[in-house]
Amino acid sequence: MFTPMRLLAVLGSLFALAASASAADLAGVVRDRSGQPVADAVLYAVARTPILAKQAPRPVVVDEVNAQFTPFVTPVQLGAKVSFTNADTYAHNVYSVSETKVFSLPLSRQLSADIVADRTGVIVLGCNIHDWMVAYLLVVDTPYYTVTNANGASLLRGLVAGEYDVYVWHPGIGTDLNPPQRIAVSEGAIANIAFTISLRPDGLWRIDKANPIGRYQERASGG
Amino acid sequence: MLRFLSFRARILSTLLILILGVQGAGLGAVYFATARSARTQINEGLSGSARVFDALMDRREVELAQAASLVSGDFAFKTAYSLRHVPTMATALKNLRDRIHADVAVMVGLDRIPFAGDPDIADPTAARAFIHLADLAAATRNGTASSIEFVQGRPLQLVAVPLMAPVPVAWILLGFKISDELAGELKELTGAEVTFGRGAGSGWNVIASTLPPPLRSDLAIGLAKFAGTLDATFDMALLGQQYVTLTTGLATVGEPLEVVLQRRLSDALAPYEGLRVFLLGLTVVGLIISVVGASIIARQVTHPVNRLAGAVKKVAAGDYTVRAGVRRKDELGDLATAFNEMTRGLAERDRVQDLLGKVVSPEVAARMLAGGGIELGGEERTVTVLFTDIRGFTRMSETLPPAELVAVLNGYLAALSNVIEANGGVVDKFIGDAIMAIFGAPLEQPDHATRAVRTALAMHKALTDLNKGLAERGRPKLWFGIGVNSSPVVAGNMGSGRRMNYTVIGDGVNVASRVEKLTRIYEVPAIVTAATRMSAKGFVMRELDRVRVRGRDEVLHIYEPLGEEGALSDETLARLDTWHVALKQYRSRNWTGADHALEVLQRGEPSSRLYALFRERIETLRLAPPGAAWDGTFTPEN
Repeated sequence: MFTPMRLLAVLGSLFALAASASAADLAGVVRDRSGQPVADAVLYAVARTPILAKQAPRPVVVDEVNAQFTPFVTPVQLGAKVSFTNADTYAHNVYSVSETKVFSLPLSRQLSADIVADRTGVIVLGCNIHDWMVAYLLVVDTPYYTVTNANGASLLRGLVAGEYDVYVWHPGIGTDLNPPQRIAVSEGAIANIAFTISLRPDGLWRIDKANPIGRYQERASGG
Repeated sequence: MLRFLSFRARILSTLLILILGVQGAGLGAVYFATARSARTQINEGLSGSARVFDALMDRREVELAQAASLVSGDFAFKTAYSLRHVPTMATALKNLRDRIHADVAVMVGLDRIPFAGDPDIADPTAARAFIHLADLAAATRNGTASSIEFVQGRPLQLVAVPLMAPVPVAWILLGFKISDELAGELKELTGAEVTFGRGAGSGWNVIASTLPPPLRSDLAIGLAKFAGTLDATFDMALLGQQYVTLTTGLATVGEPLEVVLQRRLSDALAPYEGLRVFLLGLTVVGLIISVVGASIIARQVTHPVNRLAGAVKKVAAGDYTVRAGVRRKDELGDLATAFNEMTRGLAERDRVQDLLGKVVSPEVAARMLAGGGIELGGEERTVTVLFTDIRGFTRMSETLPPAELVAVLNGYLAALSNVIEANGGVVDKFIGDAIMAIFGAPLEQPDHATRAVRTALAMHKALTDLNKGLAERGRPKLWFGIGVNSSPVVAGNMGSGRRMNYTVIGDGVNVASRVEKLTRIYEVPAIVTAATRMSAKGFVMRELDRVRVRGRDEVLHIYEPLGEEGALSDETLARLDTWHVALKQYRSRNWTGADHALEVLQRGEPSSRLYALFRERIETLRLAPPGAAWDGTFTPEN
């Protein structure tokens, strides 16, 4: 997904941003227990003290391309509007039975309805006519969030200097405790933070289109 | 036992026993082979049933899981789930359950907490089973699992599928009872009786089965003995019917569910029954053919044997003309031919004996034919030889035509021969009109002299009868003389190697011939010598004379047999006494006394030449008295 050229460009821009920052940045890395970088992990920082005036939540968009949601994982600030778009020539539905937000948008080629992320938590998105389509919304009560790239790296910019609890989340995160890390960021500096998380071994947070789960294909007994 | 049967029955029974043995062995081998084959087939069939059973159970899991996946994929169900309302979920699960005809539908959270179900999920043992299966499902790549679990004591085939929304949000467990219907479906496809059950305490409980109830209780009793023997094949009788039984187990969380597959032995043997019946029929038909064939063969053998036996009986009865009418080219034909040759030979011998008997005496002929070799040479024996000779034959031959003469002669010889043979004598030979007969050879006869004397008397009587016949036909009478002498002779075959006679030779034979000739002088029918008189018992004899035969020194005392003792009249005996007195006087030269007595006797019997003869001698002696050496011995002139 990320070519080396593009990666360089991104890194270049990050440094440029850092140099001219008027606020603090947080560079985070997420790895799994075997040391492999973890993509699609959400890092979000919650200020210890609500020192900032509330910003209007940024709306997010989840597109549907080739019968896949994209992006796969989208952090959303509480109260933000989530829009769904359809790049395909055929209809899609978007639903969620998650406790955070239960909804089902009518099956349509031109999705127009939006939802509002009015509770924090995970919203698992699905399409009721394409079982393999899955995407995740993580509703957080903070404007500071980011998602790791293929290298497990992310940069959270524009934090107001201060003390934060930094959380990590991933669709496949296991039952191990992943306590937040407390970190203080100062103006004009880049703080570094690293997480090691364990993912469920079943890998069931993502569905292989060619081999969807839930379809009985081999003898299951005896595991 | 067979010894008492007829030959035919023995052939029949032997053949039958052999055929029965061979066929029985064949039949037994086929029975044994089919039984073994059936057993192999039934075992293989049962193993096949077990494989089919396993495959069917797997297939069923797949089908149940697929069905469960399909119903759980229903979006409305996901929507119902989204309500997080347990009563609603329970009804939704019931709906799901009914859609695929399951018996149990339960939802278990990803946190392994059962939170909705139909029927109620409060049962802790059931919960444990559900959680176990959810664990199994979670551990698989495709998120499904299946197992047999006991829920409230009833075995269920449970499948777990994830509720995908769109990733697993919960586990849906669907349970299907192990029922008689399931057993029935499995029986359809495996061809075996299917029973599910498990040991319970010291017994065994049938959970579901294709067997009718009475057999189930029998099975439970039978299996209690085999408790815990899984994956074993053995025979078991259910209500008297033999079942080949295979036990296997289905894994569960707790005790395994046991599966019993059974096939009735008689069903497996049924295909062979036709073959067996056919073979039995073939054997019976073979036996019948064998019996018929054996009867024909036995008849072919015994029929000619019976005919031969009949012919042999006829031969034994003396019929040598019988021929065995068996025309065959085998051994029996050879036997018949040999038999026919034998009867021909017997007939030939009989004819030879008959012919020989006419030429030689029957005794000699018999002796010759009896084998023992005919050799030249002889042995010394004391015998009595009897000679007869016809008087006046020459005169008769002049008056009668030759053919008639031969007839008369043959009649005479035959009559006398009969008398001789009737008294045990042997006609040694005919010498012209003379007969020489022997008593005491070739067969030894201690009373040969008696026989000879009796023969002489009988011959005389026979001649009298013969003459009566001749007289009636106007023929001249025949007269003969008989000479009898007993003496040692040599008896045997005399002659050359190619031609011989059985006869006796010796001086005694000549003496007999001589005394026969003396009958012409004394004109008595028979004369015996002193030797014969000594041996012969029971006769009255008249001493005739003492004779010095020419060329011989010895003096012959000759006698005339008059008859059996007691058969003569007193008058005759008185005359005999007178005669003996006269003879004594004659020898003592008392001519007058002798002549007187003779005269008296002559008056009584004028026809008797004897008295006249002696009176003539006395006349002569009176005229020329003899010398001192004279002792009364007479020397014939010729």
